[in-house]
Amino acid sequence: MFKFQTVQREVLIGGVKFGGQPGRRRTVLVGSLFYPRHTVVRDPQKGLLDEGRMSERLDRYLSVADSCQCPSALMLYAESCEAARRYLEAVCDRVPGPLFLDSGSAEVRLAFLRQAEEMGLLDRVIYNTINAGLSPEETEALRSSPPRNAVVLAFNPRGDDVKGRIYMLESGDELLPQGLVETAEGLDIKNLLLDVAVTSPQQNAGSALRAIMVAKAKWGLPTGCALHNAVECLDLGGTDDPKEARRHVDSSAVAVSMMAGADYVVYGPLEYAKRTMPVATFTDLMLSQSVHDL
Amino acid sequence: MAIVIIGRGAVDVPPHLFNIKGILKTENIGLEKVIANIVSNPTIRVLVVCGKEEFGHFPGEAIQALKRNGMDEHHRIIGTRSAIPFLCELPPEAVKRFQDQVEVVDLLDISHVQELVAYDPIYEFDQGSRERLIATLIELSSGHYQPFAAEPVMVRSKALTGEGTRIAKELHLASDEFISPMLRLPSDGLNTDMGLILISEEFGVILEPLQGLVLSVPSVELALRLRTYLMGV
Repeated sequence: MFKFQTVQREVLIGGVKFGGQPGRRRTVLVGSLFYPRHTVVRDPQKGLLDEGRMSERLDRYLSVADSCQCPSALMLYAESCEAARRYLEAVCDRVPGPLFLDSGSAEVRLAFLRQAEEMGLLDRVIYNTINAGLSPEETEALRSSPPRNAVVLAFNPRGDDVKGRIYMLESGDELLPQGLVETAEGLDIKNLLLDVAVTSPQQNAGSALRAIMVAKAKWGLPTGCALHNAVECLDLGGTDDPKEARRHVDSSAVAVSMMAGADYVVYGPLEYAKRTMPVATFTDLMLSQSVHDL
Repeated sequence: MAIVIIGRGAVDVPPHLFNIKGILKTENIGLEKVIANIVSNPTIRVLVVCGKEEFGHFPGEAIQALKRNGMDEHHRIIGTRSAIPFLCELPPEAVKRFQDQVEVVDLLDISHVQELVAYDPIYEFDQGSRERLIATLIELSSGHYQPFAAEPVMVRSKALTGEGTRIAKELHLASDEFISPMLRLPSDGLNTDMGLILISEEFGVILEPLQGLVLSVPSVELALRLRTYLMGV
């Protein structure tokens, strides 16, 4: 176990603390909601929901988060501006804590942000993400109305190793005029979270784990990952029960990320909270015991 | 004409008598920067070493030894008493160029070689040392040196591009962390010969396992040498 010589910044978003020395803070668990093919979504374009089913899922999620005393957040995914508005309305009073705003479309991400501002939720929401594909239009929109909190994504199309990720954050790796951390700071975003960009095992996903340590040593910013992405791409065809095996691997991926120093872990659909939160609580306890005399 | 002053010495010299002037405190990263500067500029043919030699580091002696003997395959300067005389970031061709390109003129004041009580003291050249330096520079300036007949050697190293204060601070902090376990009673903690754990050579991140500390250093190789020197492991 280890601690960082670099001072580790702690930021408070929506009442939840992100960042710090491993073992000396709880790891934040982030579950996804309204993701593609999520069964609580009836129409992803209009943002129509199966209210009963969603309510039941959220109750279970809140119950397990409470019993594990697990600091938690939700990642909201929307495919249209209309859906973004409806999703925020459906969740903001129902669930406490930070809300990550995610979409494959910059227009929808910005609509998410505008809607959050109108609803007075800017302190709670986290723009996901500032990344290598940031267009001039999105940059200008963010500059004129910046989010308080944002994730900076280390994905580098030129290099999927540790160097590629860190250079993307540090210098832009000759693809961008400057590093993404500097870009995000230049947009006047108050709280930055780093995401070391896990893709698939075929694309060197494991190097993201070491990138967590390097990023925390370099910047001291809260850093996390979604190792769940690598599990999704894992071929478990040779096992007796691939579905069951994948559940165990998914839960283990949370612990693996935490052992690498992650301040927050994106574990996949919020329905997985019942498995991943107990794992995270146990791992946090073991980590805290392992560093108490460090 | 280049002037390197050992330690944080200050001396006023007429500007037409030199092209570049700077201070040197360490026989490793500091000296590497001096060498990298010199070999990148073939018009520098003379290096005047002056100021007060520093006990332990002996950076002035390290320059002389490098000019005379070069470095071995482990990048260690051959034949010097300096504490950690490793030029980890310099390729052998840069050292060879330094040896061929410049004449080293030694004006070091070795009468003050002693262990310094104050950390990193600033000192003024006394009148005699200043006059001796100026007289030497005037004499050298009549030498009609021609630029070295070869292309510049460019040394590209992440460890050398950082700002000097940051590099010094990181090495200072790393030294403190290496030494602190030695200050404990033997019964008060682990005491083993374990080495450092490499996290990223590129970005200078290492894990010191005895204390479980993730450190940022300007050069992993130099941090290893530094720890070996300080701890004897």
